[in-house]
Amino acid sequence: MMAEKVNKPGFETSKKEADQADTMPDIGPFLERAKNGDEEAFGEIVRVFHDRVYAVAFRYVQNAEDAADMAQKAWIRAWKKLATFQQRSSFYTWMYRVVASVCLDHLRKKKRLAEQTIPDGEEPLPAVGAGAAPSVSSRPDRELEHAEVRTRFQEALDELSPEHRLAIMMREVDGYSYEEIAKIMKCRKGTVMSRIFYARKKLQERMQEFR
Amino acid sequence: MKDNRKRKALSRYVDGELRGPNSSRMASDLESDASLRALKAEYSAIGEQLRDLETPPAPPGEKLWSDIRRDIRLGTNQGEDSSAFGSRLHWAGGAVATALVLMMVWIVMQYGSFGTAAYADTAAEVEWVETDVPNASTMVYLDDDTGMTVIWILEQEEGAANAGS
Repeated sequence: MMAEKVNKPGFETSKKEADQADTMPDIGPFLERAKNGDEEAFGEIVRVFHDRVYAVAFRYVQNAEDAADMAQKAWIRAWKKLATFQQRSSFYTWMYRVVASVCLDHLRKKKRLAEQTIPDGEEPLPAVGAGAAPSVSSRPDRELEHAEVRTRFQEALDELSPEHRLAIMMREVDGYSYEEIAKIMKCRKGTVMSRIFYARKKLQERMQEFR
Repeated sequence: MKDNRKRKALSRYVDGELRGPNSSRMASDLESDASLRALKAEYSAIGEQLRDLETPPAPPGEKLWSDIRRDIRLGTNQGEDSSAFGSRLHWAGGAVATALVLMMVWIVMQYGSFGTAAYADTAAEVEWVETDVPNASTMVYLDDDTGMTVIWILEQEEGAANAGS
């Protein structure tokens, strides 16, 4: 599905995604049984894809606890919708869509909540998580600077709308094409193009302010 | 580099989504425009930053699976319960609707029609209105709009009206 991306001008293929595709185990027999309501077979599928699903969820929500919740919700949704999976794409691609959809719903809800609770003119606090600055003691200057850049970048990323954040993550980290992202996000290809561009623009501007 | 259209085109170009002559034009612009090259480098740096974001190790799969299985079973039971409840509610709703229709048919059979006619019959039953207001004159009539029997009391001495129904 993603092979078409190779050899296009200026394109950098996601090595991670290509590696993942190569190491996908055959879950066909489990899938058939799970579709017929076999919980244990579904459990096997969960075990196989658990790490990847969690990693996708974490990329989007940037918080370990939320990511675990999102992964769990995604699996439950997948179980409920398994009968609708027609195997036109790989199970992982289908599952990726489920996780992305669950995370997008979560981020939208979170954003609405934040808008309701944060008074006008007040800046939301940066998210605590992977991007948090490590302890400054005993760190060399360069490492400290690197950590600070990471923190700023994380903050800038948190400021993006859920749609912008997911779109650029899907493109840059997971290596999906605009068309694939449009399918996952259920929007037009032009919208994806615009979301990715504005995400880049905002991130670039925020990082320029920091320099 | 202020040209937004060019920036957008560059964003598509780095993603391999700019095709044909547009792609060639961008390649040539990149060669001649240093600020465009700088922007391309910044876009690449953003991509690297995104790919470098750390992901903590996933929580144990067994714990997750036991939670998922619990929720699946709970969800299935809830689904059955709710569908059974929904079915019961559906039948109860149907029964109430049938009872209402039967009641309306009965009323029509008894009084001929709804609304004003039914009220008109009861209005005829008002025979006498007693008031404490001296020299007051009373008026009893059926209001066509509301279908209610209105008892109007007019005070003769002051010419003011008190109304009741």
